[in-house]
Amino acid sequence: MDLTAALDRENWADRRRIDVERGVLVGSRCPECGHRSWPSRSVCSVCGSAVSGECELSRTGRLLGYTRVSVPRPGIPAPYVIGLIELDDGVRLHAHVRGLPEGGATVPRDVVLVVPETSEEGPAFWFDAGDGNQEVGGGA
Amino acid sequence: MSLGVDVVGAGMHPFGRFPDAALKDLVRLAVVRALDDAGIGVKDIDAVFSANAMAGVLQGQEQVRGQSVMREVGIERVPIVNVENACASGSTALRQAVLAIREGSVDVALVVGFEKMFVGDLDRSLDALESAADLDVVAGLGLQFTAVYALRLQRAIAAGRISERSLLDATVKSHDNGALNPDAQHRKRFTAEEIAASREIASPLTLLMCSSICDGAAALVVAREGAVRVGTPIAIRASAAASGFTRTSDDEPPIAAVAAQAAYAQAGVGPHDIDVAEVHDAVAPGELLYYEQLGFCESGGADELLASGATAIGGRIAVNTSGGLCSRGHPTGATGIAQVVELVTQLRGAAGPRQSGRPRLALAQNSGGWYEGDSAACNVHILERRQPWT
Repeated sequence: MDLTAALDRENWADRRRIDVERGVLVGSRCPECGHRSWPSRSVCSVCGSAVSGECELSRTGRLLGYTRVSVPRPGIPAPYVIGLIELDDGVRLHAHVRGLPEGGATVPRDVVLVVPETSEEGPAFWFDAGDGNQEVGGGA
Repeated sequence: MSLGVDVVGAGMHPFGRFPDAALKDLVRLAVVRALDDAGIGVKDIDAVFSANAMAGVLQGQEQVRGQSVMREVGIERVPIVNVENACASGSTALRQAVLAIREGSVDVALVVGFEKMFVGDLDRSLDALESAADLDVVAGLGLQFTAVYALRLQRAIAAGRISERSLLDATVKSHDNGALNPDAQHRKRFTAEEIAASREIASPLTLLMCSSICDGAAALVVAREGAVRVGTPIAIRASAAASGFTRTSDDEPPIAAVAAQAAYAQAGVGPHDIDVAEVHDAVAPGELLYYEQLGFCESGGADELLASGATAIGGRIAVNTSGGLCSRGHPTGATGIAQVVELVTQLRGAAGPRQSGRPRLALAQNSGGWYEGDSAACNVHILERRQPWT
């Protein structure tokens, strides 16, 4: 398999991970098998082909699971919610989640990416679980 | 045919908070006890496999960690391999020793794991723990291992595979067992009500369900079969490893299942042959997830297996007789080795009030770090008592 294209990959620091203007995450797409990754890769973990360029990822996805964390960290006041999200194009990532109903919510449920235009403090992006979701009790 | 490998010595520095003990002190006790247990001296050691996860961040000893502690106990000149694989560092070091002995280049190896997580600065300890993942992805997220396990358990609860009641019952069992272990960090029993009422860490987990900051060390002497004569040699029948991967579907088996299947195949046994197991319950209810992944029960059968008492001391397959990570303690680099110390003690019939019958086969599962939805590293070892019980 010809991996030489990976030699010419932009350096890690020069690859975008977020497009704030367009409000999307930017990853990569394997030209051979179509597998998408975030952050970008230089070689596809599914088929082993060299990966080049960048790819905008879906703004919508499903929250597969979540936890409300009660231990504050520097710059992250508690409580906050971390979720495991699967985007519509298959990419999985951990991210902060906002807008879940008080007292718990069922999963999976739809979430939408939010990229704030100015991010003085806090995460560079999060997923909103409020829009278009029925508020349902139970769960954890 | 590869050479047989035995555990011939085991030793621990108790797990807990030891402000007056340096890394050298933790290691000294564990190593001297293991050597004494094997009836050998330091000059009998051909190679050292040294496990530590966080001394670079926590003590500034980024390099030659093994050499820096081995000199305290007079072990020099022989090869010392430094192993870091997050919370799976200990079992990763053990696996390197097994491979070296099987291959024939080492007769007697010392495997040691150590960690000193109490450094008077909780944020620094938490930063060190958070580095068990790709920092380019998790930095600033506040994703601790407690949250990682909380996410996995919340999904299992939401899918109806595990009940919230089992989270409490598994934790009661963990503390019951830890209370019987003189080397355990937490040796106090708690009721389900007390566990539920302790403060929330990451929903659905409360404080008493979670392993905590801990100091400790554990050591094993591992030798080619017959190289060191001891009363009750314990054979290492299988040593299997897997690493994390970019998960695209829940249909893909978790890496603990991948490593376990490889270990069962290596040993020529199945999950129902195992008599006693130590599993990586970084949070006590995590053992419920591993019942499924290690094949101790079918998917959705963890509640029933726990409630049946089969995994309690004296049960058909006793799990975490030591108290597990939550109660025995989880000084990261030492954990995988402490699991094997406990299993060796059980297989010898020397576990005192926490002895679980007369076991022949034992399994240790040690995981570390995380990807999106699974661990970054996992090793499974299967041990067997060579002698029949009399």
